[in-house]
Amino acid sequence: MRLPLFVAALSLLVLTSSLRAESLDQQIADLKGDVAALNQTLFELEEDILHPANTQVAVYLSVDAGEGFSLDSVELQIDGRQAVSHLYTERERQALARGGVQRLYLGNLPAGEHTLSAVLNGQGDDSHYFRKKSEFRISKGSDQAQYQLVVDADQPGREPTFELQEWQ
Amino acid sequence: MVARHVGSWLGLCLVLWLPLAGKAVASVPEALRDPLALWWLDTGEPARALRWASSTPEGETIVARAQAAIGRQAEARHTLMNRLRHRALPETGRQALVDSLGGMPAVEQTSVLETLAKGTGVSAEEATYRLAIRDMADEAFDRAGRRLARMPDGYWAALGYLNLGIAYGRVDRAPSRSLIALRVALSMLNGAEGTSGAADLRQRTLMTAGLMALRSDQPEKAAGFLEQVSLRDYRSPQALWLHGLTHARRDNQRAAMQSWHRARKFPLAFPGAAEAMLGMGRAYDASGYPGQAGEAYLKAISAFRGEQVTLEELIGEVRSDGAYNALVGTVGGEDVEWFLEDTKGLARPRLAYLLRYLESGEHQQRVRRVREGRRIRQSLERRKETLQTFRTMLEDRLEQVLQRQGSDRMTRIRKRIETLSRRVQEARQTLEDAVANGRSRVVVSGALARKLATVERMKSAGDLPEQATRRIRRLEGVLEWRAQEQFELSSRALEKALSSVEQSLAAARDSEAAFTRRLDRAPARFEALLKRVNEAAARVDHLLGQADELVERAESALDSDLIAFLGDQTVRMAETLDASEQQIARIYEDLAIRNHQQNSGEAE
Repeated sequence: MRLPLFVAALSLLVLTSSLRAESLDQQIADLKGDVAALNQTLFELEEDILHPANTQVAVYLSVDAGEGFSLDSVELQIDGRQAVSHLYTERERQALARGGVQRLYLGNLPAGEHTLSAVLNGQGDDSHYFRKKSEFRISKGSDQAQYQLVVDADQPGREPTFELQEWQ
Repeated sequence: MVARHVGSWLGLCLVLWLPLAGKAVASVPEALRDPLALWWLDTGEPARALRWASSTPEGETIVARAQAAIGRQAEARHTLMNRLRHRALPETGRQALVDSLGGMPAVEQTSVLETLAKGTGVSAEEATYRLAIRDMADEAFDRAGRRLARMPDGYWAALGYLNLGIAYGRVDRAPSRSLIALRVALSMLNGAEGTSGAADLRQRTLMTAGLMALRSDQPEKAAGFLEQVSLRDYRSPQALWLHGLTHARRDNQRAAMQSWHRARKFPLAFPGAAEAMLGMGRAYDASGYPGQAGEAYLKAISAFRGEQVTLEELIGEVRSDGAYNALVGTVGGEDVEWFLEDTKGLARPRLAYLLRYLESGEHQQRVRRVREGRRIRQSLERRKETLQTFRTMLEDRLEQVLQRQGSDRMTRIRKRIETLSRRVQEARQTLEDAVANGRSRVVVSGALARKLATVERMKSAGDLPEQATRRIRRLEGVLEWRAQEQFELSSRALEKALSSVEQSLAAARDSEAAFTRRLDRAPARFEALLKRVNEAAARVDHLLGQADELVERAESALDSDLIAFLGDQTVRMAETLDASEQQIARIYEDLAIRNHQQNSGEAE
């Protein structure tokens, strides 16, 4: 008589412990979801406060390259001042190779003429290291300005180049 | 003048330009939304991916993958299955769907897996593997085998055959089917070197095969598998211990001791190391060297006692600092995966126990819960600090704007614009009168205007000689003739200049009005932003409270679990120590009997 009772109690204990663990996992997952939702709100708030749309300038970066090209880093200057420099991890290189577009820079810029200089450092398919600089004149109006830097490294044997595309 | 005035209020604008900017919500070009979301997702920020992904089919897949990454499995599954039904789910989405099947009814899971298995790529391989595992659980081994036979070489096929080998081992008395399956698993890995998990899977397969062969009394076959196990793995001492056993079974104690000698150099936390220490004593004993056997047991006893002290210290540390700190502090990093891949633990007793603890997937999950909770808490604390900075900045800006709104400076600027407007109006009136009355003197400019002014001054000086007065009149007549001649040209030039001034002034007035409007709207905008900041801060506080509670629960569960594990290890060590002491007692007893018999023989 006592043995079945003991087994039942043990089963209940195991079940409770398992449910409790599952519940902890579920709660962490729920919390993670809530934090993700909160982060979305905060990203929007952050951009609204720091980079209001009509003074905002955004520079995106994408890579159009064949196999063997490896982007090490990109430096961006606006009007001669360092705006951002980014050193790429393997994960980020893969994200770009899969068609991802990075928002390289987000900041504020008054209306008028500006100079945007970009330097890319990387390695080509023949293990040749290169450093390539490109300079662009941009004209910022009274509204948000968005540009896309495209690293064009799709031609074997040729050094990669930057192309600038303006988005309206 | 107008330019100076415009510069003055532009200066004021510059002071406030950042927060006064009107449009609040910036956007991303439609064509870049999904690529941008993809970047965030692939670089480990799924929440940002959720913000930018579009509502296109591609965007939906990204959203679903991001939802799966942040634990919203049910939502992710719903979208992904919908896309799968429309045959428009890319490989990345298929992999996300496989990962999000947990918690779904078994029948539906099977249906989804069957659909995925018909495709190609890693998702199809994993789906087939999972279906084969279900078949094995139902003891439908032939069906599982047929599924696995259709898979291409690689990690998932190898894992399937390893499981099939283990499953055969549970039901078969003879190991032949198991060993064949395990050999197939090894061959499936031949092309997968370098892929994630392949090396570890190979070690596991070799160990399993070695153990099965040894159990079925096929020591040579077992040695063949075990000799391929890497000696840079925490399974090495167990492999060496088993390898020694294969020699001992064939009565080659010397070769057995060579393997065990290597195995006992590993920390005692690893399976096989303690057994090898005892094995050395037994092997010397079996070889007829009781003295060396005694020494080997004494060495083992000393090592086991030392190990008990290590375990006691480790348990004490876990009790005082917590299991997570003991694990992370010892490892020097936060990544469980890194810890498992690291080989430093192979030589350090404390690390070895923690590594052993982390062997189990369940234990790893316990550590991940704490790590996840701590990361969430850390990110929330950072968010809280950022929001506090925003709050201070917005309050400062609001105060600045309110001060500017009623400031004398703005009033002075407006008055200045009005004064300038009046002057422009007067100038225009004068010009129009002059044009209407043909008063050429009024409209002349440059050298002619200067000369006429000089003549006027000379005339007004008075008391001039008659001759000089006549000359002045003549000169005046010539100048007036010239002025008349240039009248039209001069009036047009003046009209143009006046229009230009009027335009500049109008622009200044518009800008001032726009700035005033923005200045008027600024408090409401700042207050709205402040409200959003305060609401977000309240949400952060609420979630921080939840995170604190969850971290505490997860840490407490991990502490208890690790202490229980170390307690089990202490018991294991005590049992091993007890066995050594019994062995040494027996050897001494044998030696004493032998000595006694010798002495009795000599006495007779």
